[in-house]
Amino acid sequence: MKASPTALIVDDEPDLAWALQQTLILDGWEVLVSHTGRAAIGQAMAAPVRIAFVDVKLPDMDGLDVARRIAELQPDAMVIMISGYYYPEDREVKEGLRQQLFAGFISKPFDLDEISRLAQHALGR
Amino acid sequence: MIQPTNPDSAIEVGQSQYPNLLTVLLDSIPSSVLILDRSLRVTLVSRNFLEKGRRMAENTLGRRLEEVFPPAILNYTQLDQRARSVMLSGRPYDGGKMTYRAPGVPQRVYYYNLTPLREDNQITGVLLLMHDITEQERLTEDMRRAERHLASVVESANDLMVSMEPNGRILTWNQAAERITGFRAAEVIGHNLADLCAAEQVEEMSDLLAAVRQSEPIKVHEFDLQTRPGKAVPVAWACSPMWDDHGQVVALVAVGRDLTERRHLEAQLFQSAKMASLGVMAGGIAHQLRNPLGAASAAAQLLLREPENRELGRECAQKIYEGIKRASAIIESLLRFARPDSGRFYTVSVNLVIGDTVAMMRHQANLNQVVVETELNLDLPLVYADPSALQQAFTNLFLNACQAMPTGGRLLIRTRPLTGEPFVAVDFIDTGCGIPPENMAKIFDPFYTTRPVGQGVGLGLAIAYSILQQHDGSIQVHSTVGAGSTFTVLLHTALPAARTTDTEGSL
Repeated sequence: MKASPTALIVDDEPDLAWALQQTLILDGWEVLVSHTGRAAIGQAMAAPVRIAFVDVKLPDMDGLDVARRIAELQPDAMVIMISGYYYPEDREVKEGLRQQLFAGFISKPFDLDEISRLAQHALGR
Repeated sequence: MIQPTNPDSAIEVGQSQYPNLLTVLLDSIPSSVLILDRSLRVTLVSRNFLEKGRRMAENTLGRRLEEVFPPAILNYTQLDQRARSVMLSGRPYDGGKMTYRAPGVPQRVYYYNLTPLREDNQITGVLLLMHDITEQERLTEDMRRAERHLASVVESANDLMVSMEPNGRILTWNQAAERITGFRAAEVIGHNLADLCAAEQVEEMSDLLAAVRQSEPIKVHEFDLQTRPGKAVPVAWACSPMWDDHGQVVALVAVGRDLTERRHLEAQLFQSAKMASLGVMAGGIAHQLRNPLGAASAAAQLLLREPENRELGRECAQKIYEGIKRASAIIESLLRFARPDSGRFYTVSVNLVIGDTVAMMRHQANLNQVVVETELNLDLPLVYADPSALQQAFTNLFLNACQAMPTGGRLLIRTRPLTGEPFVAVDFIDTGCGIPPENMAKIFDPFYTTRPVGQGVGLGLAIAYSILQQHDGSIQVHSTVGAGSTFTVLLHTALPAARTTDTEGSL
């Protein structure tokens, strides 16, 4: 039996991380959850990650730095930023997408269908 | 003295030893003397009268009264009638005032009296004695004018001016005091000023007046004054003792300024500054709200996706409920912060106000990667404070600490009682950029800011300072550039009585 693809969730908001995790598990993913940037980098070093959802504001590190480190460690991973602070039309978000610092952006609260769609897309890459 | 060739019998008395005694006497008295005979002709006149009246002895002696005094004066004083009645009754006339103006000299005022002169039980004449009281009159009038002027200074003042006996009983109460309190002077005179203060301040005002009575140096103090409509007016009082020539305190003087208008403007400024700081916090608050909303929303969608999974459904419902509770709490603390200061003072737990502040601000700190720690002393005495104002002061100190740590750091908030002193201390210790000594004097100035234009108006610390002043508290700062700053707030502990009785309004 083929091993499930692995998704990494990096958010210091446990309930939100939990809901994302349940969604992805139902979609057939293996899910890793980190509440800090440092823990996320450690997990990205240990396992192949196909998709990562990274909160922009983390307690210990800047989410963008975490995203960059994950991308370096897992070049095949699709990195999606999530934020309760920024909106998709913000200059910082557009600039980040343009420079391909991350592959997608989702603002909180979000649609689970959107999460599933992005995860599906990551599998197809 | 000029006397007729036929000397009066009275003169003979002195002639035995001092022939000129009467002359010397009369001429040395600084008064005018006239003697009139029964037909009111002048039989003796002193030099003083002639000089004052610019008359000669020749046209005075032997002349009738109406030839010596102008008709207007006789009319006005009825001098001739009075002299006649003294002559008839034998009773002296004890005086009246006479204004007399001799040709070519300024008007003078005299006080005169008429004394009957007897010879062998027969009244043979009348002595008219005129004292020049022009100077006294002028001085009295000057004094009255000065008094009237001083009184109108007191009455026209916009400030309350109250004088009291040394024990605090009111002696005078000016118009401003009447206008501001609605109490007429007659209603309050005799009452103690302390009794007109707000109930909880009566004792404090009594203590203050006692200190003034001891001539202790006293700063301006704020006490609310009761008014006739039953409201309280905030008044800043400057009290001083009034000494007599021997250095005894004979009265107390209190000058009070109505602070209503100033309080109103301050409240407006506070409110607009609060709104400005809400703007600064808006990003953090939005983020703080979007997290529980995001969790609740995701859990709800999950629930819709998996209606058959009861175990998951139960967990989802729990997450939804918790998310909504957290969002409500954030909105509630936001509303509490945005609400204008009540201006009401309660006995308050500083720990609870710090707890509220940290709950509201923690996310702001997270955004700045500031780790917040609290060390709250559990035996902290209560303070007497306006909790919403106090929270604003703490919030401003919190924000200031976050702004001092743009690349993150650690903020320790510590509460502690001061040993042996009736104070509670709150320390805000940051690991930020510190304050250069040259800026230290300016940090509490309104509109002083080190942040770029558009990122803060520089009112946070000024308002914290002003709020603490209103609480009779203070802020101290210790700072090392590059290492961090410590802002220490000192607040008076509440009176023991207030601690036990006034729990209704406490947080």
